[in-house]
Amino acid sequence: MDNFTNNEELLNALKAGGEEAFSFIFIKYYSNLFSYAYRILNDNSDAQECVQKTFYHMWDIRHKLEIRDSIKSYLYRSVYNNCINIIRQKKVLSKYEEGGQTDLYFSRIIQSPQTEMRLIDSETRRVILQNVQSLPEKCKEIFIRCKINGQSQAEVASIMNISIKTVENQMTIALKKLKEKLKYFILF
Amino acid sequence: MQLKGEEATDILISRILKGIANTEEIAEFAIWIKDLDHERYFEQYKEVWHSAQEVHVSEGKKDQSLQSLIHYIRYNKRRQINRRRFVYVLSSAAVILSIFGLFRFYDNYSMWYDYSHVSFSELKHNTDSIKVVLSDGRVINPMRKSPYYAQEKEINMNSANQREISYVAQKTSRPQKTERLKYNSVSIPAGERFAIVLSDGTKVYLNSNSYIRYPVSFGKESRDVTLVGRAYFDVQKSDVPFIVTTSDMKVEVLGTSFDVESKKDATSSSVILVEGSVKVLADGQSKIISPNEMLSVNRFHKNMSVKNVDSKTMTLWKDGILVLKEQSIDSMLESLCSWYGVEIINNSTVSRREKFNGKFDRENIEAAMKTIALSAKVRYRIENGILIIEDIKE
Repeated sequence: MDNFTNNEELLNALKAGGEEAFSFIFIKYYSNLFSYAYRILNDNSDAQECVQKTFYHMWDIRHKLEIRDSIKSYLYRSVYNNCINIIRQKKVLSKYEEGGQTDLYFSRIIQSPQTEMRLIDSETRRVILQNVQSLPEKCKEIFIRCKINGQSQAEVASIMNISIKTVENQMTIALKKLKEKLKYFILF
Repeated sequence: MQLKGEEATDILISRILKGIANTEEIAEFAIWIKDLDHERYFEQYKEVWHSAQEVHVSEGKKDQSLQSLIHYIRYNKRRQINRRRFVYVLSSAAVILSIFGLFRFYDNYSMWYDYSHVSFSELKHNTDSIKVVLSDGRVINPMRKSPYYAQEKEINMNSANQREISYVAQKTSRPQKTERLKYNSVSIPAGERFAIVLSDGTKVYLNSNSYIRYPVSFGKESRDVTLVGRAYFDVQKSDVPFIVTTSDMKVEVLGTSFDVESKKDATSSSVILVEGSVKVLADGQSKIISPNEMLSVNRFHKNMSVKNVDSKTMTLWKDGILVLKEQSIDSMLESLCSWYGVEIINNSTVSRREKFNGKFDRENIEAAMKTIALSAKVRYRIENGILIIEDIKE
């Protein structure tokens, strides 16, 4: 499906409601948009529904589709807006509203579409992902549980049925590897 | 940072990013991130958090989703429905009229539910009160009668209408350039409304869920107020510019009537001009609009757009009638939650593509719900003080 070499041509085809044009952008962007929505919503089926709705909506409003920068950034913004609607319903946001911290959520915590687009093609992301993926299976699992899922080392030790010492050692290995590659990071 | 402390911090951050942090953890995080070094730490952590996760969607699921999209396109191409539903709730007479109207439309549906067991007195209304914060930091509730308030120097309480206060220009003590202006602020909770006559004679109507901050007496160079939420301004003519500042725009006028909406979490803000002319500045651009024009500033696209509206109708909320135009069911219900100060949960499957129009009287939520239920083909019940909207099951 490389028949849309020209952006303008693609946009016109989208406005006309062409099935091929919609399939084309769906195939091109679906995986990345899904991953983005998943990391905001932290839920598989919500993320799927969110991205699905984005494309439905784009078709619904195709006649008045106004794209100023690019279809890609339109899609990311649209997924972002749908995510906000979902987290509102899911009561994630109400915990922030309670403490008057809604601004904090929107300005710091949620991954903005701009940041996501910058990150997705960045060298930093490539290096981090590559190094995390190349860790030995067990080490990777420990890293993900501790640093991504927010479990304590003690918790991870008991879930994985290993000693806390092992968890600590494995984490040291994982962090050392990242430290070498990401010297300017203060994290590790 | 200590090693133990570091682990605790990392757990906190990942719980925040994972969306599983509880209220206490959020409060702890809010304080922690105020430190600049912590903020930098968080930004990097966030980058790693988002980078390290390779979230895959299986080819099967992806293909399934694509098929659904294609079905959706083909199905909708066949039946280009564009049904629009009208909900008018103004007075009981109007309700009866529209109910008859709707029956004619939908008389093949039998869905006149008996709601006699639903008691609206069980509905929990927002109990926050209107708050006026004085320049010395004291907080008063204008709705509560107190002889003490009568002695306030800053404010005139309106004895006939508790939902209004006014200020008088203090001619004797004109603020000098060096003198700092004294500010008051007012916050209006959901379900409430309020009006203020500022020291220059400008009248401000405040909608529910709004906040405004203004000087007790205006300075010589400009008349500045800060707004969050929605307000209607009837600005007294003067050579001194009147400026409304919101989180994302500045509205500058000399003397005119206009409506500003800039809600905290909304995707866009807007200005509706009733008469005169206003200049709107947002994101380095400026635009002048004419009467019956509505300018919207999108917070994400950062662009301004102008469309024609019936400004008199769109600003009827200041007289106690909320007018909604072309809204999806969710945004209609969200507006009603704020308007009536109640909680509404929508469990129905009404499509977001269905557009609703309606006028809602401040006083009669029951009539509003009945008409919505009829028109959207849903039903409602009250559970634990919350209105729940759900599909009608056969």
